[in-house]
Amino acid sequence: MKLGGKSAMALSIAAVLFVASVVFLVFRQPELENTLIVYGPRGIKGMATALLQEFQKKYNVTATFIDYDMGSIEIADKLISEKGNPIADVIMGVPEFYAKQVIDADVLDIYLPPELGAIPVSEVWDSTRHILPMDKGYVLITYNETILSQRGLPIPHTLDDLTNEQYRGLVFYQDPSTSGTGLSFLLWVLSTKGTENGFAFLKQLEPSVKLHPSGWTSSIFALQRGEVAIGSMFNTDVEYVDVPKLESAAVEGFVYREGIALVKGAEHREIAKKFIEFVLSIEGQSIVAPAGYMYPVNPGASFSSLAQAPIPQVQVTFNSSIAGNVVEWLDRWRREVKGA
Amino acid sequence: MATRGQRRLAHVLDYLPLLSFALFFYAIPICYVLASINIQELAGLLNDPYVLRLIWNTTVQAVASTIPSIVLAIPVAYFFANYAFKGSKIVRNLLLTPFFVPAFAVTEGMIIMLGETGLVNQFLEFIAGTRQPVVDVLYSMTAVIMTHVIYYLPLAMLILEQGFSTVDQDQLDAAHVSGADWLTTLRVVHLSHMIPFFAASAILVFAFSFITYSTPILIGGKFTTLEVEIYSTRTRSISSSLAIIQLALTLAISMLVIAFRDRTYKSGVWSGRPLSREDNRSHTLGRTALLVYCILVAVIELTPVYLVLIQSVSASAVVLFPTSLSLEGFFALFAQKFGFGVGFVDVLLTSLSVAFVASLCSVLFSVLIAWRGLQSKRARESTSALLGLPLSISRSSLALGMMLSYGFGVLQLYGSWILFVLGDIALIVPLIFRVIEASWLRIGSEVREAASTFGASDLYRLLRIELPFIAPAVASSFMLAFSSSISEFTFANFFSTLNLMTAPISVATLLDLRKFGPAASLNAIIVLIVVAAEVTSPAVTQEALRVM
Repeated sequence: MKLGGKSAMALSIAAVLFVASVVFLVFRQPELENTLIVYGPRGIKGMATALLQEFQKKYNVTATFIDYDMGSIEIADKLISEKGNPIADVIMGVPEFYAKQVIDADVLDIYLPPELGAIPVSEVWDSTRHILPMDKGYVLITYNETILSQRGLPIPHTLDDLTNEQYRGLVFYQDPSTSGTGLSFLLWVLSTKGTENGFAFLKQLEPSVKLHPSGWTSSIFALQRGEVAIGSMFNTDVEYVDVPKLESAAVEGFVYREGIALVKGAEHREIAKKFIEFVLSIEGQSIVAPAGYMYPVNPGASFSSLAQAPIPQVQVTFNSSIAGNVVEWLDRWRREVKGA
Repeated sequence: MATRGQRRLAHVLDYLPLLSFALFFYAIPICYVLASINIQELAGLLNDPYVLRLIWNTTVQAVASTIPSIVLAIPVAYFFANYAFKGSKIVRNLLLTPFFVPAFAVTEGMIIMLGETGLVNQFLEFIAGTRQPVVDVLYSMTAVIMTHVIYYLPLAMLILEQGFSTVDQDQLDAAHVSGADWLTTLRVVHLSHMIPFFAASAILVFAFSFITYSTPILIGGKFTTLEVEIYSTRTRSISSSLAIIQLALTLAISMLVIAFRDRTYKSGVWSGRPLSREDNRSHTLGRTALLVYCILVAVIELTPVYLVLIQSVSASAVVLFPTSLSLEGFFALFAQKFGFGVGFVDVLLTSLSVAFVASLCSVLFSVLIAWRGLQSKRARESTSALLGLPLSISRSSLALGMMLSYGFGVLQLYGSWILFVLGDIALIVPLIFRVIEASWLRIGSEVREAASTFGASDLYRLLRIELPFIAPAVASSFMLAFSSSISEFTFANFFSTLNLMTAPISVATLLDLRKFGPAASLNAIIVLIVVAAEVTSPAVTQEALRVM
């Protein structure tokens, strides 16, 4: 086969680019041996990155965060599936409402760092002390003030207000299968109303719901474009710069609490303990608020970046008497509420 | 004369590249995921009204996406195959942009277009003289289908154009001389020749639409699909059972299409005389109508892309034009750290390098598989069907399987760029194989037999006859592969570490950090890289055509 001049040149360029690409990737390749591996849900990746970045600087160790593109329940299930041969050393972002399943699966070790003493007892929600409190946030009913005033609609204050006929087609809450905020909304309803009445309420609400966004980004986008006007968001989203006039009456809200734990059989046990200590320290806790939308649990930590966010007057926490059925609730929600 | 043993060995060799590839890239990773399958549960699902409803909805949506994508692509493909004008290749390639840019970029554009205050409603409100939204299609199955048509029409066009442009000019001349009218010519010459290309595009569009995840999630509203359910339940055994059902359904439909193709299409000797492209200066009413139609399609296809780009330089939400310009998001990228010291330039170079290596390897694998796998009718049928399978595998299941098998399992590649490349290859080869296959099928068996009669070895035949013939398809495939890789999200999301990540993952990181402006800017950069690949590739393709 005779190659033309241009063909030969094209092939030469391709060969040079191939070699250059491989050389760049080989030299750029980070060393991952002896790496601390931290599991957590994708929703806290930004915060986890910031924490691990500072931790790495301080202790001069390599560390990485793996979320497998999973939510908080799925990543906890992933850890359970690796029982006896865990990949992770630490798991963070374990939600309060799924703690029972993870603790019962016997995949966590108890580790009580000295920093725990600085955290108020009221914040320590796992009585077995396997999972240590890490941060918390508030899910509220928010509304676009511009749209409501244009249409002359009243401001929603409570969950029951959402079923108001006047709001038909304006309401949203996130898909609880893909969004932590959506899951919090579901648990808020079930914690307040009980399982059966809660699902009855959600079915009653569904005709008013325009969409169930997959997460924060799609919620913001729908709000920005005026596709929806009333729905569940974290309190720190109120008056978010990209959604003008996003407000909340903040009469009631759900407290989303999550924790951090040492994995049983962790390969890098000692450095994992150091990381847990760091996350609970004032230094680590002061990273929580600026890097995310949650509040630290260590009272010494700063959260001035969230100062403008409204705190709900009535704070609903997870009703532990209904613990243990989150996966079934999600199935039921998809089948009976969304897919009905 | 070859002995029986030699023939058997040759037969085994025909399947060797395909089977090795399928074993390494799909079978082993999927085994890690499907290990938890429960037969009783699987049987139960087939009687579950909820699952049956999901299957029905997914199938209806996939069929409804496939038919208009192909039908609407036919005139565009015909236009590009028949009319040459300066920059036609660039325009054709630009039309592929929606297919290659990350799904969340196109859906963002679709939301801007179809929303209550979007472009379409504002236009219709103006026409109708009303101040109420005229259409309400966003967040529904209709929106998913419309978005799929935007994604897949260009893909169908690319494949169909290959078909139209390889119609034998001698046959057309013969039809003309024998007085055949245009309908007879269309039926006898065009349609019979086009069957493999229709089949290839139908299989691809259907499979992609069937396993759709991000589009229904982002703009489907309450409409959901089988893949969304697989994703939602993916840490549980039910997910594996649903994945098996999805795989079986798409395989069955692909097999039907392939069987139809092989029953109706008779591979012939290609005369080697390419279609004479008409000059665009000669006008008739039909040609003008075709031109107008193509311009309309181009505008519709490129509007979501334009909106994504314009949003990145706009200080506020856009409808068609920005009210005020801002480059703040782009400048902010240079100051951003995405992980442990991973800056914007690192991310960009990593993305480009991974895309280049993955694309080249994918093209080589595809050519190797096609070379051996298309040797005989039996091997061709099996190869075609088997490489249809990966298109129907749940992407997130495959990515998880690769992570567990090669990331943390046998190869311990987690944290290495090689894992990114492997993921991309698994994704790209089934896609570009269709393009190469469609081109390779045009080489009649008589050509191979004649070469063998004159003593040409398989390798000699590959280098002297087959590769030069398929060179344009190889060049197009590289461009397809590069564009796919640069915007690939699912696999990269699994394989990224805080030390190593690609551009689409960095967009997600910025969104996690609630930095909308820089995220829109990085999104725009990915779109621009894809556009640059599309604009520059005609030079390579033209060269390849000359080699032919």
